[in-house]
Amino acid sequence: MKPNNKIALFLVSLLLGSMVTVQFSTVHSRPKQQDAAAVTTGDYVQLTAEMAKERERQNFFYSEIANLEAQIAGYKGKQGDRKELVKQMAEELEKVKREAGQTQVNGDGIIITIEDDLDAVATYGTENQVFLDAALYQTVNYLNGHDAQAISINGHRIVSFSTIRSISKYNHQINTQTISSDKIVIKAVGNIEQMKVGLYANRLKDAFFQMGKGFEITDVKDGSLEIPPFERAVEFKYAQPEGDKKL
Amino acid sequence: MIWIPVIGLALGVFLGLSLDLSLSLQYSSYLSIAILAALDTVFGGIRASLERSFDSSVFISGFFFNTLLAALLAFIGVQLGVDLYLAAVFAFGVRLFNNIAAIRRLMVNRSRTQTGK
Repeated sequence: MKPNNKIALFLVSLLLGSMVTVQFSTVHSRPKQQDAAAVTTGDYVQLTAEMAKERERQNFFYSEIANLEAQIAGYKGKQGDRKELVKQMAEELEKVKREAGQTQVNGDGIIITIEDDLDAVATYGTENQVFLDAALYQTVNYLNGHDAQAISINGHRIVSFSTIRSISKYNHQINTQTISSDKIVIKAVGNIEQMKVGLYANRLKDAFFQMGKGFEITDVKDGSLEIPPFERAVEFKYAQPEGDKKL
Repeated sequence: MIWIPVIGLALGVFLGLSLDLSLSLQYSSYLSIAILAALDTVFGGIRASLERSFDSSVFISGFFFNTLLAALLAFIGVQLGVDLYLAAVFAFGVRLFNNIAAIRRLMVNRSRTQTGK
């Protein structure tokens, strides 16, 4: 064999050897990385739970994207007519305000009158009136659970951040404003029958009776029941809207 | 003569280990096909040298051409979504076995001849 041929064979073999080694180290570096990953991420149960959580988050974001896309499509559809767009946005703002309890609401509903009852006072006294806040809170809870759409107590609108508080048996506050406990009037707009069923089924009348109070319900079916708006603006100082911070 | 490619391979392995090179995973499939083609060429070269018909220009051109062609075939296969690398694996695999079988026969014949002498 000529020396040239030997050199060619040697060089090609050298190149092949290097190629094989590079391929070998490339292929065998993969399992090491996987092992390291397995050690740091913990066991499979945790991984599965994390994956389920991530999938849930992903679904949530997909639905949010779909909602926003639908909203954008709605805006784009009305882009040609600026007035229509403004009108739609105003309607949405009004809807949001209504849902947040920032606007006055009228409609059918019930009026609950809670006032001193002579028989009740004679039987139980007035000592239990210190627990009036709990009974009022329960009443609001049952009304909300039975199709009430707007509630007020003595003219103070009840919303998600309303407060109902008894400081003593003579001193009661709604939305941090003192109310007279002589006569408490709860107005609720909503499904009359459902609300009455909820109140009667839960024996609220008995609860108030034990505090020396009578509990009367009056229907208003002519749509004249008025619920005032929540009296103060809410500043979201600590709560942030959902967005990047959730990610 | 058979020791030349063995020494070359050993040195190549040493060189690869000492340099500690590794490819990105996406290119490792191309390199594996290229290695198969290169192995085929090297065994072809050994066979040719045993048959005393070795030509360095054919050998070197065959090495680079086959290697690049195999990698190119694999690349085109990936781009088209067709497993074209299987064609290269089959072709070079068959040739590799043929060359190894031929080398084995030649070495057996040679040893018989030497024993007969």
